[in-house]
Amino acid sequence: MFRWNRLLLLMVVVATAGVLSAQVTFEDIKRGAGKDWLTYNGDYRGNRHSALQQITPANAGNLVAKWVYNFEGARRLETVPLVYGGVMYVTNTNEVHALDARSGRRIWAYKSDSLTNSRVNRGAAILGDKVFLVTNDAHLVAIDRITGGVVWDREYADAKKGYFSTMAPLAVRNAVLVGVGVGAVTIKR
Amino acid sequence: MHRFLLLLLAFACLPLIAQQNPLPNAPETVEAGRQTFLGACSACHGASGQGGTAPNLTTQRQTARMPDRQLFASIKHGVPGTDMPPFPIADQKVWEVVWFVRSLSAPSITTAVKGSAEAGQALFFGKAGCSNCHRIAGRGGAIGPDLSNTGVNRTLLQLRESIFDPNARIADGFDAVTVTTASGTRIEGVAKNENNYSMQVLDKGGRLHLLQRGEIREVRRREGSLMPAGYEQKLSKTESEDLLAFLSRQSIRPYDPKAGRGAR
Repeated sequence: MFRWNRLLLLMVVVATAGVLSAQVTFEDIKRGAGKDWLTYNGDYRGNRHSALQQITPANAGNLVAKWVYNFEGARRLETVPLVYGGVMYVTNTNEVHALDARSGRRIWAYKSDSLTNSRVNRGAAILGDKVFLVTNDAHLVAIDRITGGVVWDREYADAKKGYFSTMAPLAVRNAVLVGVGVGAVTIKR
Repeated sequence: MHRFLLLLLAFACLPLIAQQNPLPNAPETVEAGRQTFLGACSACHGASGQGGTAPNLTTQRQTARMPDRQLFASIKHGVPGTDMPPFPIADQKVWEVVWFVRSLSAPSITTAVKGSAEAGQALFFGKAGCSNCHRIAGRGGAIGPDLSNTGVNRTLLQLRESIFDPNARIADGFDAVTVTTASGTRIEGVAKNENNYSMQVLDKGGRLHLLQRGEIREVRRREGSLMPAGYEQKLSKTESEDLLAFLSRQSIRPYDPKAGRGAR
Protein backbone atom coordinates (compact mmCIF):
# COMPACT_ATOMS: atom_id res chain seq x y z
CA MET A 1 0.00 0.00 0.00
CA PHE A 2 1.45 3.35 -0.99
CA ARG A 3 1.99 5.64 1.98
CA TRP A 4 1.59 9.33 1.16
CA ASN A 5 4.08 10.50 3.74
CA ARG A 6 6.80 8.81 1.73
CA LEU A 7 8.25 9.81 -1.54
CA LEU A 8 8.63 6.68 -3.60
CA LEU A 9 10.70 7.21 -6.67
CA LEU A 10 11.68 4.97 -9.50
CA MET A 11 15.23 6.05 -9.85
CA VAL A 12 16.37 4.84 -13.19
CA VAL A 13 16.47 8.19 -14.93
CA VAL A 14 18.72 10.49 -13.01
CA ALA A 15 21.63 12.64 -13.88
CA THR A 16 25.10 11.31 -13.34
CA ALA A 17 27.30 12.38 -10.45
CA GLY A 18 28.95 15.69 -10.90
CA VAL A 19 30.03 19.00 -9.52
CA LEU A 20 27.17 21.38 -8.94
CA SER A 21 27.64 25.13 -8.86
CA ALA A 22 26.34 26.45 -12.20
CA GLN A 23 23.34 28.75 -12.63
CA VAL A 24 19.94 27.71 -13.97
CA THR A 25 18.88 30.08 -16.77
CA PHE A 26 15.54 30.89 -18.41
CA GLU A 27 16.93 29.28 -21.59
CA ASP A 28 17.61 26.06 -19.69
CA ILE A 29 13.99 25.92 -18.52
CA LYS A 30 12.69 26.82 -22.02
CA ARG A 31 14.57 23.91 -23.59
CA GLY A 32 12.33 21.53 -21.64
CA ALA A 33 12.93 18.31 -19.79
CA GLY A 34 16.08 16.36 -20.54
CA LYS A 35 18.33 14.98 -17.85
CA ASP A 36 17.03 17.81 -15.66
CA TRP A 37 13.42 18.65 -14.75
CA LEU A 38 13.49 22.40 -14.06
CA THR A 39 9.87 23.43 -13.72
CA TYR A 40 6.65 21.93 -12.35
CA ASN A 41 5.29 20.84 -15.74
CA GLY A 42 8.68 19.96 -17.23
CA ASP A 43 8.51 22.85 -19.71
CA TYR A 44 6.47 25.98 -20.44
CA ARG A 45 4.07 24.07 -22.75
CA GLY A 46 2.94 22.03 -19.79
CA ASN A 47 2.89 18.65 -21.54
CA ARG A 48 5.00 16.97 -18.83
CA HIS A 49 6.88 14.96 -21.47
CA SER A 50 10.45 13.75 -21.19
CA ALA A 51 12.34 12.73 -24.30
CA LEU A 52 14.59 10.38 -22.35
CA GLN A 53 14.61 6.85 -23.73
CA GLN A 54 15.68 4.79 -20.73
CA ILE A 55 12.16 3.76 -19.72
CA THR A 56 10.17 2.09 -22.52
CA PRO A 57 6.85 0.20 -22.67
CA ALA A 58 8.96 -2.97 -22.80
CA ASN A 59 10.84 -2.39 -19.53
CA ALA A 60 8.35 -0.29 -17.55
CA GLY A 61 6.99 -3.40 -15.86
CA ASN A 62 10.40 -4.22 -14.45
CA LEU A 63 10.94 -0.96 -12.56
CA VAL A 64 11.72 -1.28 -8.86
CA ALA A 65 12.21 1.27 -6.11
CA LYS A 66 15.85 2.31 -5.78
CA TRP A 67 15.37 4.34 -2.61
CA VAL A 68 12.64 5.76 -0.38
CA TYR A 69 12.84 9.10 1.38
CA ASN A 70 10.67 9.67 4.42
CA PHE A 71 9.19 13.12 5.01
CA GLU A 72 8.90 13.20 8.77
CA GLY A 73 5.51 14.44 9.91
CA ALA A 74 4.06 14.85 6.41
CA ARG A 75 0.39 14.03 6.09
CA ARG A 76 0.36 13.70 2.31
CA LEU A 77 2.68 14.74 -0.49
CA GLU A 78 1.37 16.31 -3.69
CA THR A 79 4.69 17.63 -4.95
CA VAL A 80 6.39 17.35 -8.32
CA PRO A 81 10.15 17.13 -7.66
CA LEU A 82 12.59 19.26 -9.63
CA VAL A 83 15.95 17.82 -10.67
CA TYR A 84 19.07 19.80 -11.54
CA GLY A 85 22.64 18.55 -11.75
CA GLY A 86 21.89 15.35 -9.87
CA VAL A 87 20.06 17.11 -7.01
CA MET A 88 16.35 16.59 -6.48
CA TYR A 89 14.35 19.38 -4.81
CA VAL A 90 11.22 18.06 -3.12
CA THR A 91 8.64 20.03 -1.17
CA ASN A 92 6.11 19.52 1.57
CA THR A 93 4.11 22.33 3.12
CA ASN A 94 6.56 25.07 4.18
CA GLU A 95 9.61 22.92 3.49
CA VAL A 96 12.05 21.99 0.75
CA HIS A 97 14.51 19.11 0.90
CA ALA A 98 17.50 18.83 -1.46
CA LEU A 99 18.39 15.19 -2.10
CA ASP A 100 21.16 13.40 -3.92
CA ALA A 101 19.00 11.97 -6.70
CA ARG A 102 21.07 8.81 -7.09
CA SER A 103 21.05 7.82 -3.44
CA GLY A 104 18.10 9.69 -1.90
CA ARG A 105 20.39 11.08 0.79
CA ARG A 106 19.54 14.54 2.08
CA ILE A 107 21.93 17.42 1.35
CA TRP A 108 19.92 20.11 3.15
CA ALA A 109 16.41 20.87 4.32
CA TYR A 110 14.66 24.20 4.71
CA LYS A 111 11.73 24.06 7.07
CA SER A 112 9.81 26.95 8.51
CA ASP A 113 8.49 25.41 11.69
CA SER A 114 7.04 28.70 12.83
CA LEU A 115 4.15 27.88 10.52
CA THR A 116 1.53 25.21 10.92
CA ASN A 117 1.88 22.31 8.53
CA SER A 118 -1.62 22.56 7.09
CA ARG A 119 -2.61 22.31 3.41
CA VAL A 120 -0.30 20.84 0.76
CA ASN A 121 2.47 22.09 -1.50
CA ARG A 122 2.82 21.32 -5.21
CA GLY A 123 6.49 22.02 -5.74
CA ALA A 124 9.30 24.55 -6.10
CA ALA A 125 10.77 26.71 -8.86
CA ILE A 126 14.44 27.00 -9.67
CA LEU A 127 16.29 29.91 -11.27
CA GLY A 128 19.87 31.12 -11.04
CA ASP A 129 21.34 29.94 -7.76
CA LYS A 130 18.02 29.86 -5.90
CA VAL A 131 15.09 27.56 -5.23
CA PHE A 132 11.72 29.27 -4.68
CA LEU A 133 8.93 28.05 -2.41
CA VAL A 134 5.55 29.50 -1.47
CA THR A 135 4.45 29.02 2.14
CA ASN A 136 0.90 28.32 3.23
CA ASP A 137 0.65 31.88 4.59
CA ALA A 138 1.45 33.40 1.17
CA HIS A 139 5.13 34.22 1.44
CA LEU A 140 7.59 33.60 -1.38
CA VAL A 141 10.88 32.30 0.03
CA ALA A 142 14.12 32.37 -1.98
CA ILE A 143 16.50 29.65 -0.80
CA ASP A 144 20.16 29.26 -1.66
CA ARG A 145 20.33 26.20 -3.92
CA ILE A 146 23.65 24.96 -2.51
CA THR A 147 23.37 25.69 1.23
CA GLY A 148 19.61 25.69 1.87
CA GLY A 149 19.91 29.08 3.62
CA VAL A 150 17.18 31.68 3.14
CA VAL A 151 18.18 34.61 0.94
CA TRP A 152 14.89 36.46 1.31
CA ASP A 153 11.29 35.96 2.40
CA ARG A 154 8.50 38.23 1.07
CA GLU A 155 4.82 38.29 1.95
CA TYR A 156 2.62 38.80 -1.13
CA ALA A 157 -0.85 38.40 0.37
CA ASP A 158 -2.30 38.75 3.85
CA ALA A 159 -2.97 35.32 5.37
CA LYS A 160 -5.08 36.99 8.09
CA LYS A 161 -7.57 37.90 5.33
CA GLY A 162 -7.86 34.24 4.31
CA TYR A 163 -5.27 34.08 1.53
CA PHE A 164 -3.06 31.01 1.24
CA SER A 165 -0.74 29.37 -1.27
CA THR A 166 -0.05 25.81 -2.34
CA MET A 167 1.19 26.23 -5.92
CA ALA A 168 4.61 25.63 -7.43
CA PRO A 169 5.96 29.07 -8.40
CA LEU A 170 6.78 29.64 -12.07
CA ALA A 171 10.16 31.17 -13.03
CA VAL A 172 9.99 33.17 -16.29
CA ARG A 173 12.99 35.17 -17.53
CA ASN A 174 14.11 36.96 -14.36
CA ALA A 175 10.75 36.88 -12.58
CA VAL A 176 9.02 34.37 -10.33
CA LEU A 177 5.22 34.19 -10.67
CA VAL A 178 3.02 33.21 -7.73
CA GLY A 179 -0.70 33.05 -7.00
CA VAL A 180 -3.01 32.70 -4.04
CA GLY A 181 -6.09 30.84 -2.97
CA VAL A 182 -8.70 32.36 -0.73
CA GLY A 183 -10.81 30.73 1.95
CA ALA A 184 -14.58 30.35 1.70
CA VAL A 185 -14.99 32.33 4.91
CA THR A 186 -13.30 35.33 3.31
CA ILE A 187 -15.45 35.11 0.19
CA LYS A 188 -18.64 35.21 2.27
CA ARG A 189 -17.65 38.47 3.97
CA MET B 1 4.04 19.21 57.69
CA HIS B 2 7.12 21.15 56.65
CA ARG B 3 6.19 20.81 53.00
CA PHE B 4 2.61 21.82 53.71
CA LEU B 5 3.75 25.02 55.39
CA LEU B 6 6.02 25.82 52.47
CA LEU B 7 3.18 25.29 50.05
CA LEU B 8 0.93 27.50 52.15
CA LEU B 9 3.60 30.17 52.23
CA ALA B 10 4.03 29.97 48.47
CA PHE B 11 0.28 30.40 47.91
CA ALA B 12 0.10 33.19 50.46
CA CYS B 13 2.84 35.04 48.63
CA LEU B 14 1.38 34.63 45.16
CA PRO B 15 -0.92 37.68 45.20
CA LEU B 16 1.99 39.79 46.37
CA ILE B 17 4.13 38.75 43.48
CA ALA B 18 3.90 40.75 40.30
CA GLN B 19 2.61 38.83 37.27
CA GLN B 20 5.60 39.89 35.23
CA ASN B 21 9.21 40.54 36.07
CA PRO B 22 9.32 44.13 37.40
CA LEU B 23 12.97 44.55 36.39
CA PRO B 24 13.94 45.63 32.88
CA ASN B 25 15.33 43.03 30.47
CA ALA B 26 18.71 44.77 30.39
CA PRO B 27 22.19 43.25 29.91
CA GLU B 28 23.15 44.33 33.44
CA THR B 29 20.10 42.57 34.93
CA VAL B 30 20.85 39.33 33.06
CA GLU B 31 24.51 39.52 34.13
CA ALA B 32 23.58 40.18 37.78
CA GLY B 33 21.24 37.18 37.58
CA ARG B 34 24.03 35.06 36.14
CA GLN B 35 26.30 35.96 39.06
CA THR B 36 23.64 34.95 41.61
CA PHE B 37 22.91 31.79 39.59
CA LEU B 38 26.60 30.80 39.64
CA GLY B 39 26.65 31.06 43.42
CA ALA B 40 23.26 29.60 44.28
CA CYS B 41 22.04 27.39 41.44
CA SER B 42 24.98 26.13 39.37
CA ALA B 43 25.91 23.28 41.74
CA CYS B 44 22.76 21.43 40.66
CA HIS B 45 21.73 23.10 37.36
CA GLY B 46 25.24 23.52 35.90
CA ALA B 47 27.14 26.77 35.30
CA SER B 48 25.39 27.31 31.96
CA GLY B 49 22.08 25.86 33.10
CA GLN B 50 22.85 22.71 31.14
CA GLY B 51 21.69 20.50 33.99
CA GLY B 52 23.33 18.14 36.42
CA THR B 53 21.50 16.68 39.37
CA ALA B 54 18.77 19.22 38.59
CA PRO B 55 16.99 19.75 35.22
CA ASN B 56 18.59 21.26 32.13
CA LEU B 57 17.19 24.80 31.96
CA THR B 58 18.30 25.39 28.35
CA THR B 59 15.95 22.78 26.91
CA GLN B 60 13.21 22.27 29.47
CA ARG B 61 9.96 23.53 27.96
CA GLN B 62 8.20 23.51 31.32
CA THR B 63 10.50 26.24 32.64
CA ALA B 64 10.41 28.21 29.40
CA ARG B 65 6.59 28.30 29.49
CA MET B 66 6.34 29.08 33.20
CA PRO B 67 4.93 32.57 33.96
CA ASP B 68 7.38 34.95 35.65
CA ARG B 69 5.57 34.83 39.00
CA GLN B 70 5.69 31.01 39.08
CA LEU B 71 9.40 30.96 38.24
CA PHE B 72 9.97 33.55 40.98
CA ALA B 73 8.04 31.44 43.51
CA SER B 74 9.93 28.26 42.52
CA ILE B 75 13.26 29.97 43.20
CA LYS B 76 12.30 31.91 46.30
CA HIS B 77 10.19 29.24 48.01
CA GLY B 78 11.45 26.04 46.38
CA VAL B 79 9.32 23.37 44.76
CA PRO B 80 7.59 21.09 47.31
CA GLY B 81 8.04 17.40 46.62
CA THR B 82 11.28 17.92 44.70
CA ASP B 83 14.93 18.54 45.57
CA MET B 84 14.56 22.23 44.70
CA PRO B 85 15.11 24.08 48.01
CA PRO B 86 13.95 27.63 48.83
CA PHE B 87 16.41 30.46 48.28
CA PRO B 88 15.45 33.19 50.76
CA ILE B 89 17.38 35.95 49.01
CA ALA B 90 16.20 39.50 48.29
CA ASP B 91 13.33 39.73 45.77
CA GLN B 92 15.42 41.84 43.42
CA LYS B 93 18.08 39.11 43.26
CA VAL B 94 15.42 36.50 42.48
CA TRP B 95 13.96 38.63 39.66
CA GLU B 96 17.48 39.00 38.23
CA VAL B 97 17.85 35.22 38.26
CA VAL B 98 14.46 34.94 36.51
CA TRP B 99 15.80 37.08 33.63
CA PHE B 100 18.96 34.98 33.46
CA VAL B 101 17.00 31.70 33.43
CA ARG B 102 14.78 33.11 30.65
CA SER B 103 17.89 33.91 28.58
CA LEU B 104 19.02 30.25 28.78
CA SER B 105 16.19 29.00 26.58
CA ALA B 106 14.85 32.15 24.90
CA PRO B 107 15.66 33.00 21.26
CA SER B 108 18.62 35.36 21.39
CA ILE B 109 16.60 38.09 19.65
CA THR B 110 14.55 38.45 22.87
CA THR B 111 17.60 38.72 25.15
CA ALA B 112 19.06 42.12 25.96
CA VAL B 113 22.59 42.55 24.64
CA LYS B 114 25.35 45.03 25.45
CA GLY B 115 26.96 45.40 22.05
CA SER B 116 26.20 47.36 18.90
CA ALA B 117 24.64 45.26 16.11
CA GLU B 118 25.88 47.79 13.53
CA ALA B 119 29.48 47.47 14.69
CA GLY B 120 29.02 43.69 14.79
CA GLN B 121 27.88 43.69 11.17
CA ALA B 122 31.07 45.48 10.13
CA LEU B 123 33.09 42.87 12.03
CA PHE B 124 31.15 39.95 10.53
CA PHE B 125 31.75 41.09 6.94
CA GLY B 126 35.19 42.52 7.69
CA LYS B 127 37.90 42.09 10.27
CA ALA B 128 36.50 39.00 12.04
CA GLY B 129 36.33 37.13 8.73
CA CYS B 130 33.05 35.33 9.58
CA SER B 131 31.57 35.87 6.10
CA ASN B 132 34.43 33.92 4.50
CA CYS B 133 32.56 30.79 5.61
CA HIS B 134 29.11 31.87 6.87
CA ARG B 135 26.23 33.34 4.88
CA ILE B 136 23.53 35.76 5.98
CA ALA B 137 20.67 36.51 3.56
CA GLY B 138 22.66 35.14 0.64
CA ARG B 139 25.84 37.10 1.41
CA GLY B 140 29.02 35.28 2.46
CA GLY B 141 30.64 31.85 2.19
CA ALA B 142 28.87 28.50 2.00
CA ILE B 143 31.07 26.10 3.95
CA GLY B 144 29.80 27.08 7.43
CA PRO B 145 26.24 27.05 8.77
CA ASP B 146 23.93 29.72 7.34
CA LEU B 147 23.31 32.35 10.03
CA SER B 148 20.32 34.20 8.56
CA ASN B 149 17.99 33.23 11.41
CA THR B 150 20.28 32.94 14.44
CA GLY B 151 18.30 35.48 16.46
CA VAL B 152 15.33 33.10 16.39
CA ASN B 153 16.82 29.61 16.42
CA ARG B 154 19.76 30.13 18.81
CA THR B 155 19.96 31.32 22.39
CA LEU B 156 22.58 33.89 23.32
CA LEU B 157 24.45 31.18 25.20
CA GLN B 158 24.54 28.93 22.13
CA LEU B 159 25.84 31.81 20.00
CA ARG B 160 28.54 32.58 22.54
CA GLU B 161 29.57 28.92 22.66
CA SER B 162 29.68 28.64 18.84
CA ILE B 163 32.03 31.61 18.57
CA PHE B 164 34.33 30.99 21.51
CA ASP B 165 34.21 27.19 21.82
CA PRO B 166 33.58 25.97 18.24
CA ASN B 167 34.58 22.39 18.98
CA ALA B 168 31.99 22.00 21.75
CA ARG B 169 29.31 21.09 19.20
CA ILE B 170 29.58 20.57 15.46
CA ALA B 171 26.33 21.02 13.58
CA ASP B 172 25.02 18.11 11.50
CA GLY B 173 26.38 18.26 7.96
CA PHE B 174 29.53 20.19 8.85
CA ASP B 175 32.10 17.48 9.62
CA ALA B 176 35.35 18.46 7.90
CA VAL B 177 36.62 15.91 5.35
CA THR B 178 39.24 15.61 2.63
CA VAL B 179 38.13 13.20 -0.08
CA THR B 180 40.32 11.76 -2.81
CA THR B 181 38.25 10.45 -5.69
CA ALA B 182 39.06 7.31 -7.71
CA SER B 183 40.32 9.58 -10.49
CA GLY B 184 42.70 11.33 -8.05
CA THR B 185 40.80 14.60 -7.50
CA ARG B 186 41.20 16.00 -3.96
CA ILE B 187 38.15 17.64 -2.42
CA GLU B 188 38.37 19.59 0.84
CA GLY B 189 35.10 20.48 2.49
CA VAL B 190 32.30 19.26 4.72
CA ALA B 191 30.26 16.07 4.47
CA LYS B 192 26.63 17.09 4.18
CA ASN B 193 25.63 13.45 4.46
CA GLU B 194 27.13 10.00 4.06
CA ASN B 195 26.45 6.31 4.51
CA ASN B 196 28.02 3.07 3.31
CA TYR B 197 26.95 3.72 -0.26
CA SER B 198 27.34 7.43 -0.98
CA MET B 199 28.74 10.73 0.27
CA GLN B 200 27.63 14.31 -0.44
CA VAL B 201 30.45 16.83 -0.02
CA LEU B 202 30.34 20.64 -0.17
CA ASP B 203 33.81 21.94 -0.99
CA LYS B 204 35.44 25.16 0.20
CA GLY B 205 34.55 26.87 -3.09
CA GLY B 206 30.84 26.23 -2.57
CA ARG B 207 30.60 23.36 -5.08
CA LEU B 208 28.62 20.23 -4.32
CA HIS B 209 30.09 16.79 -5.07
CA LEU B 210 27.68 13.84 -5.15
CA LEU B 211 29.75 10.69 -4.87
CA GLN B 212 29.04 6.99 -4.79
CA ARG B 213 31.41 4.98 -2.57
CA GLY B 214 32.92 3.33 -5.66
CA GLU B 215 33.98 6.77 -6.87
CA ILE B 216 35.93 7.48 -3.65
CA ARG B 217 39.49 6.29 -3.05
CA GLU B 218 40.07 7.80 0.40
CA VAL B 219 38.29 9.90 3.03
CA ARG B 220 40.30 11.73 5.68
CA ARG B 221 38.44 13.27 8.60
CA ARG B 222 39.55 16.27 10.55
CA GLU B 223 39.14 16.29 14.31
CA GLY B 224 37.10 19.24 15.46
CA SER B 225 35.40 22.08 13.65
CA LEU B 226 36.61 23.98 10.58
CA MET B 227 35.73 27.10 12.56
CA PRO B 228 38.98 28.60 13.86
CA ALA B 229 39.45 28.68 17.63
CA GLY B 230 40.88 31.61 19.58
CA TYR B 231 38.27 34.30 18.90
CA GLU B 232 38.56 35.36 22.53
CA GLN B 233 42.08 36.58 21.72
CA LYS B 234 41.30 37.82 18.21
CA LEU B 235 38.47 40.08 19.32
CA SER B 236 38.39 42.64 22.12
CA LYS B 237 35.65 42.32 24.73
CA THR B 238 33.69 45.14 23.08
CA GLU B 239 34.07 43.54 19.64
CA SER B 240 32.87 40.19 21.01
CA GLU B 241 29.74 41.84 22.41
CA ASP B 242 29.18 43.69 19.11
CA LEU B 243 29.41 40.47 17.11
CA LEU B 244 26.99 38.74 19.49
CA ALA B 245 24.61 41.69 19.20
CA PHE B 246 24.63 41.43 15.39
CA LEU B 247 24.11 37.66 15.29
CA SER B 248 21.41 37.76 17.94
CA ARG B 249 19.35 40.17 15.84
CA GLN B 250 19.23 38.03 12.66
CA SER B 251 15.70 36.99 11.79
CA ILE B 252 14.28 35.97 8.40
CA ARG B 253 10.82 37.19 9.30
CA PRO B 254 9.94 39.84 11.88
CA TYR B 255 10.09 37.90 15.15
CA ASP B 256 6.73 36.78 16.50
CA PRO B 257 6.97 35.17 19.96
CA LYS B 258 3.68 33.32 19.38
CA ALA B 259 4.88 31.74 16.12
CA GLY B 260 7.69 29.58 17.52
CA ARG B 261 11.34 29.30 16.66
CA GLY B 262 11.25 30.17 12.96
CA ALA B 263 13.07 28.60 10.04
CA ARG B 264 15.84 26.13 10.72
